Amino acid sequence: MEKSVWKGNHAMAEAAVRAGFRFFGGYPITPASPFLEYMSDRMPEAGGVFLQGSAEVEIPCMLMGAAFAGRLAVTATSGPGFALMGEGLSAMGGGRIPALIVFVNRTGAEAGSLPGTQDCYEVSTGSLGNGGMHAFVFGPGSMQEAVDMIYEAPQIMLQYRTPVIVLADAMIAQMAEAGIRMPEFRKLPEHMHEYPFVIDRARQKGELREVSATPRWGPFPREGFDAQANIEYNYQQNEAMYRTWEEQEVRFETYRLEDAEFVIAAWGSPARFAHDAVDLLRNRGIRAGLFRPQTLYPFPKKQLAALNPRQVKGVLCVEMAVPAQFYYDVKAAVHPEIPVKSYHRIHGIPYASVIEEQMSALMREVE
Amino acid sequence: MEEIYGRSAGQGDMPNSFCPGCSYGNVMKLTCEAATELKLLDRLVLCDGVGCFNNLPDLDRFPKFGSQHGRLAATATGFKRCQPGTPLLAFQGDGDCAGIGLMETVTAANRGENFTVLMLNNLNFGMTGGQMAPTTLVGMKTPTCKQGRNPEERGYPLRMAEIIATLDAPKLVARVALYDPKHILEFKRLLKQALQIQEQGGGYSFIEILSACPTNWHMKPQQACDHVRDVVTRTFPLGVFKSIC
Repeated sequence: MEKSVWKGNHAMAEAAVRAGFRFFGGYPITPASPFLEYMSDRMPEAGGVFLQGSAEVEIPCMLMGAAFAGRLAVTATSGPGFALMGEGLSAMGGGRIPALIVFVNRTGAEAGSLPGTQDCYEVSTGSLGNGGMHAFVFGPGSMQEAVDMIYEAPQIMLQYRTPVIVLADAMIAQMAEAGIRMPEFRKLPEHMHEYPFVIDRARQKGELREVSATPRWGPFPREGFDAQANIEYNYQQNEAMYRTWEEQEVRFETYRLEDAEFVIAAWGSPARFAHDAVDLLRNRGIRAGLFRPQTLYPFPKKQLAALNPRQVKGVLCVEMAVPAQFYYDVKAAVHPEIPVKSYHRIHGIPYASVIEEQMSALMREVE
Repeated sequence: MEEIYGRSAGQGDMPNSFCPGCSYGNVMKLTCEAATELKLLDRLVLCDGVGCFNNLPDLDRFPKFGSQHGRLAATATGFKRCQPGTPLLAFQGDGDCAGIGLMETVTAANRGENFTVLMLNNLNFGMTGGQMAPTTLVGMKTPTCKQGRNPEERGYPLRMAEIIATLDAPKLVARVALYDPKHILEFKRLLKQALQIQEQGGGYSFIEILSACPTNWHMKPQQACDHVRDVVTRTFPLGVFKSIC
């Protein structure tokens, strides 16, 4: 019988192998290190390449090199590592080079502190380094969902030619959970070779000009030598892709939202507690509901904007980040007549009872 | 009329964009000659960092990929590990390779990655206006050391070939110059040897090429060439520092 009790880091790494990733580059960093340790055995065993880099600055470059060679490439890191990757991720975003970054959030600025929080929301969903490019960002709410999102990542990566981030927190990555359903091994995708930056196949097709992959300038070659016009054209394609994501790829989950007067907005692990908080509030006869984005970029703006101010009396944003980050995206999206309040901490966990108390305070303010 | 000298097979039709007297054009041409002689024209992949050779303008025949400034050895590692059968040649300047990319260069060499790095050493950051590089000679004037490099403040020229040669993994480490036909042929011989090592799965090779930079050295082309021979080689001696074939 297949193992069903997994530690989060190991489960996510195994999901990446089963999804078809055959290149891993990484560097030790808490709380993502067990991902790296797992891959050091598992990747070679699966016929892939494992590399431990000398610092995170070189990891996105290794992933891009692997992508140029036609491999699905993945890394796992945390905030300080992600900061060092900024330069390479900027190139990856601008040049639309597909790779997966499993980002296990820890606390605070620079090396900060080790407890898992959600304060890398902004750095993940905002510009990848300089230039204003974006990755497609999943925000898993549980270990199972992280596994499923990692398994789905290659489809997004290859359909759109984009880096993908799975922004997990340390609760997901470090807890052990039972009942994890591990996906089947995916047949290795040949379709990566359809993309012109992949060196060998492009040669066979005689498309030699197209394989000149200068990531920062973008992948779509145009005739002529006006570099600035070329860059603008490429970045316009990127921008169009981001709009397409907002139209077609937004994922979110709601719980008892249909008749809700008081809505909790949360993503990741706090949404699990928020789910229970909805039940606690409902037991008291309060019409509460939950809105949980599963994609953080694209953000479900339209879906939040659809909350009806004649029905919804208040929104409580719960997140493990100080200063608040997710709150501002929610606030910008919902109807301006709906009061939006933030409950955000990095010391202590926002358990259901705490969220219930916070919602009660919001209700007192509103009514 | 018989053509006795022309563009090498593999060189594109576009004129290169290098300054008159720059050695980089020679390196491009010799790369094509080596690839032709080793029958690698259809398999060789090139990659480049950031420097005057950006996009390798003379080498459009070959598939290429780029990297950020200094990170080429990491990108090349990712590629070569996934396509071990593809010969790979990496072009870097001294600023790219020995300055901002020192970590990537040394760690890739130390892992014995199976590709060849050509470090084109012109003693300065040519593309950005000739600023001081790790390789700038003592006393040499640049826009960031206008009175000349003072080693008490700015340290000494970094000898990359010697540093790489101290590592266990690299198979071929050399420094060459291109100021006369003898040395041009020596470079071509070593380049072919490096590519052959790769083909046999042998490992890492590093060739530092002392390159004339008349524009930023404020010299005429012939003067710059003589400067390499008479002055630069005193700080950066030519030779094969390691050869395990």
